[in-house]
Amino acid sequence: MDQEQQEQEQQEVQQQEEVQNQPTLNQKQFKIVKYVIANTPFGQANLVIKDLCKLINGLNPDDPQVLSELKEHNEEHLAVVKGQGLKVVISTLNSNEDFYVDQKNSKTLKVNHEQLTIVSVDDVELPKDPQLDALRDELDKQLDLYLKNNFNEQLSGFYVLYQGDASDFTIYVGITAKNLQLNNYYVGDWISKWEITNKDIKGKYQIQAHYYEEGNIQLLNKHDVVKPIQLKLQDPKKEAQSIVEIIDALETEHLKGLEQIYGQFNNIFFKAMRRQLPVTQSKIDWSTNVAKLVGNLKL
Amino acid sequence: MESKEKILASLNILKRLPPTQMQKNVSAIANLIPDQAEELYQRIDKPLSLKTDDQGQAFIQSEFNRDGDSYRSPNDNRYYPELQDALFPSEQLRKLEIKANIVFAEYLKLYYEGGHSNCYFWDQDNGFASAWLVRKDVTGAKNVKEGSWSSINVIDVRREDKKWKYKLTTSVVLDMKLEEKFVGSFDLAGSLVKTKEETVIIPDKVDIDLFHLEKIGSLIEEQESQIRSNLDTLYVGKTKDVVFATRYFQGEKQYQQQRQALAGEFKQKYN
Repeated sequence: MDQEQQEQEQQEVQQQEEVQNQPTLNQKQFKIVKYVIANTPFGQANLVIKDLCKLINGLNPDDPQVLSELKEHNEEHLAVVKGQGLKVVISTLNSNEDFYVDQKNSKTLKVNHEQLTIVSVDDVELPKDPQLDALRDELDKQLDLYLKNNFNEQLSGFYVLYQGDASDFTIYVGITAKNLQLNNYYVGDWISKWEITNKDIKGKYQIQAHYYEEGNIQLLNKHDVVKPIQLKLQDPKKEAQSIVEIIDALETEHLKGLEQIYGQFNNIFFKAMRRQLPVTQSKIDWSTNVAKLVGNLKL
Repeated sequence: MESKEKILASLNILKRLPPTQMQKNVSAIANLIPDQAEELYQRIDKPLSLKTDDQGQAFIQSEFNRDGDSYRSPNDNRYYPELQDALFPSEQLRKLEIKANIVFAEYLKLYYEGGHSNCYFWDQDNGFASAWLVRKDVTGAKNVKEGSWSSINVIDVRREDKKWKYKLTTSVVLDMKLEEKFVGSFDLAGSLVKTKEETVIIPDKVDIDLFHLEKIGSLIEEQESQIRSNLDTLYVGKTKDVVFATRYFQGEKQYQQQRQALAGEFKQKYN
């Protein structure tokens, strides 16, 4: 008898646990939440999540499924996280399950994705290549200077990581600047990601702007670039300088292109859409016009 | 959660999602709140599309001439696909609708020099409402892969004693996809909304239909022109400012900082 009772109790506990561990979202809802968070401009994810919780019964901002999408959103947008004396840019590159790797300082970090803060730091041993370490350290200095001169300090940052060894390597550089003006209803997000090998440097731009005071206007600019380079890892300072010079030149070229396109808007695009005034250069005389067109229309 | 709050939360989410995917966005949110889906679809501005009726005439498909999954052509006043017990404007209003389409087509010629326009009317207590719509595509312009302008003018007309009250809401929806060698793909899209109200006393010996058309036409002309002027500062200017405030041209950052220092605006740095 006792054994039967025990088994029954065990079954009930198991069932209760299963109910508690049921995700709050069904498959369709989860897909929608995923889509919404992924497509929200950076800086607005927390607000969007709050609104999603108003639409889905029982959903809370700290739901594990929601948090996992927020994590992905932050990584895709190169979020800048601060805390414990560090400032780190997170991405899919240095992400590892529930922590991030700070290669330069040999640390692992845990992050609060809602607050964008570093909550704890731990030491870790990582494989190192002395030549790549040297180049990375020089790149770090050059990029710091580069960002100070060309970017808005407001939530801007960069990462430098490498993979491989001196014979076969890839250096990853990510640069980002976030212009968050939620009180004025606009946000901007500059992201450029670079992959450097011993023969070329590849860049990927992802620039976004969102203005939503009297509507919803968004700019999305994507571009891939590549430039050959020769890296011998013999003079880290000089090579770091030339890498950053190339990045600078490419980004400047990109900005100039953007300015040109913006300059064309009024003349080419808007004129082709709607004139400011008719060819007569004066507004329509409505009473004359209406009378002429339909004044005598018998229906 | 109250129905009104759900709609508000939905609209808040939608104004943050990419306008180029408006259809998908609305469909996704509507799936979360099926009871409010219909109302949500009516509140959203998206680029207008065209349909062809049996006479081979194109007409704009919109929320304002939709009933279920069918759309009414203003040319022959029929629904496509055919629909039982569909909504039609009253006989008198239908006459006004026909006149409005003629008048608005002239406006389209003068300001748009191309494109497509339609007006749809529906009855209301003490008046009527109507939507005056424009769809214009940009083709053949340098660097433009696709470009479209959609105007959605919704006007509510009510009679109060001897006065008539006109309330106009104008939404302009733009969708532009550009491609350029040094810039890559450049997508700029979205909508701007403006509203205006006016109350007038209509003189006695006047053709009321013609009076309404004149009033509505001039209100639309005024408001569309304002939005057209704002395009430069808002659509273009704001997004440009936002981007160029993240990454500066060389030397510009120092120049800006010097200006701020000279103007004594140290505070800006610490905001």
